[in-house]
Amino acid sequence: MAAFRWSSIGRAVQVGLLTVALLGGQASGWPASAGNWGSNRTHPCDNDMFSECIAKDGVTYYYLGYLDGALAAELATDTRDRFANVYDPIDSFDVAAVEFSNASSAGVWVKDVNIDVDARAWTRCADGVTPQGSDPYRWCEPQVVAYNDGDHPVRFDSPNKRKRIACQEIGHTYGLRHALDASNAGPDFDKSCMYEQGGLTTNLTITTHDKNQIENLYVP
Amino acid sequence: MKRLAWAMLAAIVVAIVVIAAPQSRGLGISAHERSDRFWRPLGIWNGSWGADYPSLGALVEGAHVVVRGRLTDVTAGRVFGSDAPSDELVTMAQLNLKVTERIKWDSRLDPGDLLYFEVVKPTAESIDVLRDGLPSEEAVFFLRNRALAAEEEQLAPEIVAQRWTYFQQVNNMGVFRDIDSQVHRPPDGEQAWLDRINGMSYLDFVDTVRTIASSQSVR
Repeated sequence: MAAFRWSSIGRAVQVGLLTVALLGGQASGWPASAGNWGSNRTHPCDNDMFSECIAKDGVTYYYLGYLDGALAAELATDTRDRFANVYDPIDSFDVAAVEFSNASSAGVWVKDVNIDVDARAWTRCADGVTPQGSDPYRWCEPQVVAYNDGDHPVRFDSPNKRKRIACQEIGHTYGLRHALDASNAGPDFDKSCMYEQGGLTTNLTITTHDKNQIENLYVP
Repeated sequence: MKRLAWAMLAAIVVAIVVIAAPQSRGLGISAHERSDRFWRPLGIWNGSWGADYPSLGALVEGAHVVVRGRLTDVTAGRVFGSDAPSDELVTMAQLNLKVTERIKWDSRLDPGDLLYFEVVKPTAESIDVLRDGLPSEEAVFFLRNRALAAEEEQLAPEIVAQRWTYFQQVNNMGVFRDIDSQVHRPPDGEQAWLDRINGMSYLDFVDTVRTIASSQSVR
């Protein structure tokens, strides 16, 4: 009888633990994301204007023809520079950045806008685009990089300011998030352009950790 | 078999207790989540900000006003840009904030009891949906006045003049809510110090903010 009791209790405990495990798993929320990369770290990638998605794949075809404000030429030059000198060198990992001369097939549209908010720039999915894939790999195409310079030219009045902002926004298009600390973004987190507390004219590139984050997704 | 059935029943009860206990402890968490569902879509997440706030003191200093109050309504707000391919169409929602205490204030602002607090309206949600989800709890709001922000950037006087009635939260981290007498930090704000404040006594938090604000105004 005692053996029967213990075995039945054991089975019952197994059932209970399994129930706890299943329900606990369902209640655990968003999956953990190791590092400052992915579509699910702060605002999950959805149809909201400022949700966080990633590029479809490692190749970013970008279009600069929507830059039409007073600083258009400078913004184009420095955006082109950051694509070429920061992100395209990840080419050995099958990530590339190619400038397109038309918008229709480009993966990133770069614009200059005039909105009364403190944000100097942002990255988002283009209007009407439905994100696809599943976290942390939810992607949308095309993405929009918006430089909010209109009434605020002082935010973009030097090459290094423009390069700093371009570096961060391009990083967002690849799925990089803001670098917060070493646990989130590696040992050199405060050297990255993804680090918000860096100076306005410093931190013009990404770190090895950031590159690895991109590489981990985009290497076949 | 009867013992087996009783053992199974006992195990299920244990499982329910194990699962339900944290949830019953977390009635406030549920309220927090309801509130988060309202606030979370209202931020600019993939944004590059001109300033960052690595401490509560920095946040108080960066805000033009710090007030206690409750939201009373949501209405349509300003609309920026256009839907042309080269432009951005950004529609704001205007939260009506009934102010109960001005912890930090700027004498150039009209000291009315109602303050218009702008947020970016989520693309997929109507004003009515936002109104239905309006949180009822009190909060401490860290806000930047748009005219004072324009003055800081030395914008033209005519632009400054148009913006005195508009406020926006500081980055994505301007709302600290009172839920079950505890502070609930801004949803998804990225700074680690927000986690340290989360869960502290709300009234202690208010006292701390008052102390910081008064010390800064002395300086």
